[in-house]
Amino acid sequence: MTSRQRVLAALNREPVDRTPVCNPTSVATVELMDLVDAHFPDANRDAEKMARLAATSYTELGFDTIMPVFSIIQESSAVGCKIQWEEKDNWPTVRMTEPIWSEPDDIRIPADFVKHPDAKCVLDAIRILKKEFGDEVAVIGKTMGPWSMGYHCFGVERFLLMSLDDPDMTRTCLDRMKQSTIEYGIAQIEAGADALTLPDHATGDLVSGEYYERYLRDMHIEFAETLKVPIILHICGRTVDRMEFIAQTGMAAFHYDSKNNPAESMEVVAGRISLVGNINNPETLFSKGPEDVAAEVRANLDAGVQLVGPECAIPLQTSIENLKAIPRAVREWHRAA
Amino acid sequence: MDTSTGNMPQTLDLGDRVELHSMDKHCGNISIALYRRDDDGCPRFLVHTYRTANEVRARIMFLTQALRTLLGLEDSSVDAAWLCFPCGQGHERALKRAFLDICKLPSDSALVPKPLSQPDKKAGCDVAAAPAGDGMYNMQAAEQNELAARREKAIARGYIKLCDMRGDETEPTRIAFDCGMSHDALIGFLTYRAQNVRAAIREEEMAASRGVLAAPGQQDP
Repeated sequence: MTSRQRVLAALNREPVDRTPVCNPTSVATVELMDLVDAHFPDANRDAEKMARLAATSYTELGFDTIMPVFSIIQESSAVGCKIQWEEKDNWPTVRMTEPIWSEPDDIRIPADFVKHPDAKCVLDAIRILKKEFGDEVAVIGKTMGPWSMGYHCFGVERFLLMSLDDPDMTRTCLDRMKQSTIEYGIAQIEAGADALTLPDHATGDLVSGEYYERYLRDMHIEFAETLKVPIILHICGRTVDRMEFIAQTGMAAFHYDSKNNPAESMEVVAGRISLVGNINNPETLFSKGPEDVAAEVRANLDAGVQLVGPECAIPLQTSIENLKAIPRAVREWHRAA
Repeated sequence: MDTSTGNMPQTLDLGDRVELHSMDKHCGNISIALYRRDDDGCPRFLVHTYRTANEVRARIMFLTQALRTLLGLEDSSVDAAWLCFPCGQGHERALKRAFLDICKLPSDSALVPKPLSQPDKKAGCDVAAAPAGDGMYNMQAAEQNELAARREKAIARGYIKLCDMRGDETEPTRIAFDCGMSHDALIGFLTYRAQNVRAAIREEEMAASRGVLAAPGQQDP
């Protein structure tokens, strides 16, 4: 199987020759930036650099996927949020203390927002990667969900308070913001994306499982029906309490955090959705060594997790040796099986 | 974009990366790492960057020379680009801290080993790390008073934390390297840090949190 075939099969829970190594979020590091001369912040805004840096997940690290959307701010920038672009060794962030909307009627998704330079560069990067790699490797795009957009555009506190105080207003806001999720997703599919990551940060520490069901499950079902490629939902934190609802969405995979036990998570989703991720970022990939990384990979494989990879965008200072340890551990596990 | 082999630089198998200076302000913001290999049981270290711009080679040579001169590392018998301590041990904790501080030096800095006796602001006098043989050092203040005595012990504790050195329960101003050999250059270079170990640890904690992407709900406002 090619890497692309392997990834798409695993996302559809079909047989694979070996478990694919998948990064639904960024695996860019400062050393890889130096290697290919494509540095942050430019690599978040220049399609050629974005593609060059993203390709290293396949060409250097041995993953089965390429994911060029390193950050979570591309469409927020396109709809008007103020962005702190930072330097090579730090992530660009939305200035959430300067929200751009406070009421549902403020919400304006510009008709041509996918043509905004910070949105378009992702589309161009996907085209470059598809031209370069064809059907060899899976190219994954990313479109942010409305809950994440709510944090960015309303500010975290305002948005969370709204969800407590005024469920109807919250639903109206989510319904209006979902336009950007769908339009940006479709634009990336048209550019050639084989699958889409859909981060929607109803994270375990801030939002309950009941909230997920109330506000997001049905909307996520709609995304899975509308966006005609496999969708990988990403939510950080301990999320076992909402995995039952997530498994009902029809999404292809759930990108899950290391705070969740692989075997317990597999039991909850019960074959209705693939799982991917779970390798711990701050402690294992960033601070420990290849043997510790391999141990977490094996725990996922033993549990039957369909795709293996880091739990979230990796720290930019992560060592290359630790990242290479992921595909190596997968191959060794299959050889020993 | 051409990613075919031969047209793209490739990552190397350099062993374990023990420390990273993610942005070198003195050389085009390149990332510089210290790698370690233990091929024959003797830890060896290499300063490396994946950047290939012209000015980079001189910067790497400067940093490598600084490790020799300021910390007492010497060329490995296997490969001169790799360095080792004369005692054959890694002293990794001390080396990591010293490497980060060396990366802060501009490339035109004069490389002169630091003395074992240096002024200590809090003691109000010089405090020396006096070699006592077999890798042992005694902290000795130039003046005899209560404050200076307290600083001798505090600096000893600083070295223990920074360098993974051994303390002496009966003599709290005495410290020793487990290898049983002296490392005057390393001790001299890290005096400033041992005098204020909290600042060094604070700096390390800040560096560890940089570059870690937090979910939107967890980002600092």
